[in-house]
Amino acid sequence: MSDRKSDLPGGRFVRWLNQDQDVLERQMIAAQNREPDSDEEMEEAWRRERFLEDQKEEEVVASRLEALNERKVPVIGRVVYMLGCMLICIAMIMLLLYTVTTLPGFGGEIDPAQNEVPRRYIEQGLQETGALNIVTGMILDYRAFDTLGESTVLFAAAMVVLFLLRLDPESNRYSTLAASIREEPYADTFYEPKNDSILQHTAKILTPVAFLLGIYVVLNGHLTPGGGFSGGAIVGAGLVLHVTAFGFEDIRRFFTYRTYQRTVVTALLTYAFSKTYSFYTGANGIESIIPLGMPGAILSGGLILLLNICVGFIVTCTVYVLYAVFRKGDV
Amino acid sequence: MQIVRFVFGAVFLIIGLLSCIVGVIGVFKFKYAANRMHAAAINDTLGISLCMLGLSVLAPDIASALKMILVIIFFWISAPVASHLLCRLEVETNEEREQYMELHVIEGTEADADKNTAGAPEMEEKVEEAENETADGQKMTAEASDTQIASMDNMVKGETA
Amino acid sequence: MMADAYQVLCTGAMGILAVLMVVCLIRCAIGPRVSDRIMAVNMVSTLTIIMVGIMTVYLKEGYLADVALVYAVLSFLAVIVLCKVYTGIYRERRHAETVSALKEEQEGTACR
Repeated sequence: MSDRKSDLPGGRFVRWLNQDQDVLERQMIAAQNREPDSDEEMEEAWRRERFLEDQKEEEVVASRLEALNERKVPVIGRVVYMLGCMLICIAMIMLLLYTVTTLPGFGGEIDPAQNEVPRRYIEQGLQETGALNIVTGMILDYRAFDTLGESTVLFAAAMVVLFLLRLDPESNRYSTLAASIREEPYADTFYEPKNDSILQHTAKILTPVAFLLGIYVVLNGHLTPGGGFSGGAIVGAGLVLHVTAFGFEDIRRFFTYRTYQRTVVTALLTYAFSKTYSFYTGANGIESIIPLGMPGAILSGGLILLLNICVGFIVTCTVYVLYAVFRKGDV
Repeated sequence: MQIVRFVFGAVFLIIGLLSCIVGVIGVFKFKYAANRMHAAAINDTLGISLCMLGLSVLAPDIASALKMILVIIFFWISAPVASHLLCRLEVETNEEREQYMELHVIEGTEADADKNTAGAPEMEEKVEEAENETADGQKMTAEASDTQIASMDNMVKGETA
Repeated sequence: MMADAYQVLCTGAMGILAVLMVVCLIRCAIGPRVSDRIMAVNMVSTLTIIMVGIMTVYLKEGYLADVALVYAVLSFLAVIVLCKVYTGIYRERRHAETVSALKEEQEGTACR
């Protein structure tokens, strides 16, 4: 039984609890037995040992998962589980359909949505925000604080994915593992066809087109439908296209983890500061020095253009980073 | 003038839709994936370009008409590449490909290496290399890649000499 | 008169396209190989682009043409990424099979 316990992932803790073996004992013995030739070599050995330990732990977890998947469940239990699932699904669908039937009709005159707020947006939105596209005027002027929250949520999501999946090459514990994940036979992209010259020549033509299209959508956010979120997604798609054609080594020339951090943080701070200014002037009744411009021109709508660009940067970086992390475990 | 424009656009659009229908029928008629790709390509090139030409004639303003022409150009560039990659996937992953097509393997290409490794000694070396790497960490990779580079250099020299 | 003609043309074309799309989805569902499925998805996105173009004419809104362009970029991207990923998965699986077969062989010779 004790063997079984020590095989578990928490085995070290259990051993320490039972005082079978000191956690650090093995490492200390290993360190004593070893002639300290040089610091580097020792460090390398430690790392390798840790790497092997990690691998063993992973194997144990994988075998347990396999056993869990292969365990025999009685037929009745399976049937009950299936029926329960179906029941819950049908109940959810019924509940949602019932809710839909009680909703007010679309565009009716006595809807709760038809109050003074949208009337004000429609009637005075153009004068107050200077944006032809009323939706952009709403999300980046009247409700800009909400959009800042959205961008921050996006940033936080990307950050959490990075925390969970990224192996920092500079950290002590994972350095070997991180290096090995990026090197040849362990890399996720190792088996993929690379250097397809047809695809590369096409990507050379099409990536700038995708970038241009995305930038156009971002810059025209206050005139036509679109804006920071959709335009950023298109530019991110262009980056993904480039990566697919040329590989991750090529894109590391201009886009690394550091670039991501700096770009996104700068964009978020710019957004926050510029909006702080407009909130301050708006709340205190001070005349803003930013002109609204002629509606319909590209330089109009006050701060909306700047905010759109910031959101575009954030979305671009996040789209690309999520793709890279899920494909490769690194940026 | 309006009627002429409408008729022009409508004719193009209807011919385009007909070729789309032909493509979709072909996807069901052919028996093998690489043949079906031929039918799908009709849809991707002829169908969309005729439809978009018709629609650009009918378009409300000149900018959207130009954008539709841009869609055609984009498809002319991208659809063949997508077909190429699909075909590559099909040829590579289909294990019964000999019964559908004749393969002429050119020496020294990737497909050649694949063919050799199907049951064979070179693969063994690669496998051993991979296993050594797991055991010995990173140093082996560097050495292996060095030897690979060296052999490639030799090949290049041999060709030029 | 003209508006009626436009409406008939656009609705008819969109109906045909909807039927074609459903047929393509059937191919995607039954397609025996992965490449069939990817191809069917590609065809669906092509038909969608035509549909967006028809919407541009029908609603007389120029900005919908942008959507068609964006859709073209994204459909191309989807096809190439899926192709690469599936080729990689197939090769990895085949490599693993070869390795295990070789290991078995080696064990067999060792026993003898």
